[in-house]
Amino acid sequence: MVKAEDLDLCFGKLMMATAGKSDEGLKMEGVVITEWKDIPIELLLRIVSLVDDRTAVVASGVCTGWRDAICFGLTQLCLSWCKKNMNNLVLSVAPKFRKLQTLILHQEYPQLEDNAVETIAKFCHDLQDLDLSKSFKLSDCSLYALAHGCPDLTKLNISGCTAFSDEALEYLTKFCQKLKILNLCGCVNAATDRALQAIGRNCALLQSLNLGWCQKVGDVGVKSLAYGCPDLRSLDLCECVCITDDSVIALANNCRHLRSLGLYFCRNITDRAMYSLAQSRVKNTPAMWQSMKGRYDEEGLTSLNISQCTALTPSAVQALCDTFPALHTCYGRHSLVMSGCLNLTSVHCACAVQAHRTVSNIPYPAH
Amino acid sequence: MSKGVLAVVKPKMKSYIWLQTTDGSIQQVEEEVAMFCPVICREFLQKGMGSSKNYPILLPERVNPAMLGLILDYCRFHQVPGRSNKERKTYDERFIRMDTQRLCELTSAAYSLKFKPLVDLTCRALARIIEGKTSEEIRDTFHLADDLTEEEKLEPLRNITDDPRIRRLNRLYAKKRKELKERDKPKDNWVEEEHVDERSVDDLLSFINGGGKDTKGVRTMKNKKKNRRRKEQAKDSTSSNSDELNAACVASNEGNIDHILVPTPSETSKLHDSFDSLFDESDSDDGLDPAMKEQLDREVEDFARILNSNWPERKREILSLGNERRLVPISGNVNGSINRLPSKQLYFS
Repeated sequence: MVKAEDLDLCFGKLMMATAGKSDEGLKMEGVVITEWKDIPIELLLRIVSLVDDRTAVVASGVCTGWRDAICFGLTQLCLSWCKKNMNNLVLSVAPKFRKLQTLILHQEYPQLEDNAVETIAKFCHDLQDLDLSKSFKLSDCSLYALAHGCPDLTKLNISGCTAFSDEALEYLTKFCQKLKILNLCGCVNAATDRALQAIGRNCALLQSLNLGWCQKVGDVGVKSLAYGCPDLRSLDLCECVCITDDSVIALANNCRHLRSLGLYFCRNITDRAMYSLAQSRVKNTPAMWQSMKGRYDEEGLTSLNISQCTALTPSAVQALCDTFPALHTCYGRHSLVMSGCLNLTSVHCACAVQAHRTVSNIPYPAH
Repeated sequence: MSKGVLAVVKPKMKSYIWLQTTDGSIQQVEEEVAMFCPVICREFLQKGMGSSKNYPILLPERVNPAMLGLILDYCRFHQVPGRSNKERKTYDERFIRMDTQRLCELTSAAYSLKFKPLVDLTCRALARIIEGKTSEEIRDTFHLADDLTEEEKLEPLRNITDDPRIRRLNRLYAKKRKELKERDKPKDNWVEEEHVDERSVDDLLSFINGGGKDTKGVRTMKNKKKNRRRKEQAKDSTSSNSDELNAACVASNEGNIDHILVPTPSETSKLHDSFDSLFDESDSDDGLDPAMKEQLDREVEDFARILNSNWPERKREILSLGNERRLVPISGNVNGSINRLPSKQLYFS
């Protein structure tokens, strides 16, 4: 009867034979090491940082030494190149790469499922930057998992994840209070006033929020946001048609660092909003002398999109343009976007006026 | 003190710095060349070492004379201020052209000397070498031990081979490797096969995860690895053929199959290929070419022929593993008739 030990012996002999092959490369000349496997971890990580992400994943499967080094040192990974098996790939690499801080899983075709995100949340507790954009298949389970597993998240992109609800998003904000950049573009069901109130309560460090196409967003939500997130610098309310002047006034008064505001298609916006923004700038100046010396924004608003806001008049917008020197209508630095506002063609920034004067015969296109 | 000596010497002749490598040999190098390397520079200026043969600068462990020579060549070229960027770049490209082993040594040496420009250059060169390779190729290139379990190796590989170009490349590499191996070496592995695997992904996953002991596939794969003392000419086999050979092995295992052992590199590549081909079939964009399918069919036929002719010889080899066998009947096999035949023949003491 053939015993298991005999088989192991045969196998062992074969193993040694293979190992012996690789040992041929090992030159034992004194203390000098020529064997690649003794390369210091830092050096290996440096080389891995120079290759593309797919090769990095392959490299983690070369041998135990490389696997341990890469699992220990890999902090950034992008798997967006994976067109078919991203879900399985995440399931297999997430448990290994526990030190990940940045994980980009943007998909062209939705592949990710809840079990992948749950795996990420289970193993990658250091995660700070997560991009799950266009993951149509994800449900609220993913958000709940992330809430418990990744409390250090500072940057989260869930744009296009239409299946998320506002309840789950609210839950997430209770745990991920360090969020600075949040992209909810297209999350129609998640971005509601209730969620925005939760964000205002919990995420005081928020600097950038994208609420594009979230048509359920109203004044109540944006006002809570303005009161709760004084550090807000960038807000995109594209197609948030329910927004009125009250929102913009609240933002103007509370978010002193606001640099970028998108109000595309917010038809209810009137001159009141424009004047409030201009006034906030004036109010900002005395504040500089008090506590915000180093943080005073020299430029104030640098980017404003009021396309299709047809209720605005030229005088108000011109006043705004004059107040904020960084708002430009000139070609090349175009940061005041007024597409579709046919009555605002006369609004110019200071440099555009100069150019206009020198080339007086050429009509200046407002947009 | 030593600097004072140098000051006297300087105006008259070229000044040299003395360096000692770990093997004990000491060499002298022109000062401006050696000073291009920051560590040497610091040792010389701050500690006054290296100015004479008796007090050479001790270089780190990984810098052997050959590597030191290379590094000094690099310094000699680059420390000349008048060269253009293009010249330097061309030099670098040519400098880096060496076999991988040497490149590794050089990287190691440059790193231990903390010589940043050379570290960057060599790391970039190594990164270029690694890029696009499969794990096995990387192992071959750098002579690394193949010590990961099959499960660990295959999991991510299965999922990243979905770029059609890369998969095609991998297939070509695998084929080329196979051909080279067959040409060069006698066969150590008893089955080198390319599964034309009809199983679904779920079956494969459950196999990898150690479940499904009753699945035909489980026994097939695991037993193959446990019995490897075979010299086989075969390139491909169908699952039924491997079952035939496994019939004896199953018997010997006494049903104690509870762990997956590490396969040899060639087998890994076969498994890799088998997974690869599995994905091929499910992928409408990158299906197997009809030509490839034909070739595989041909190879399968060849193997079947070879197998049948060598069976008596192989039978003897199986027997050399042991005299007695306890037979365990296998259920759920495709070619039950073939399996029954060998078991009958083996049943004797």
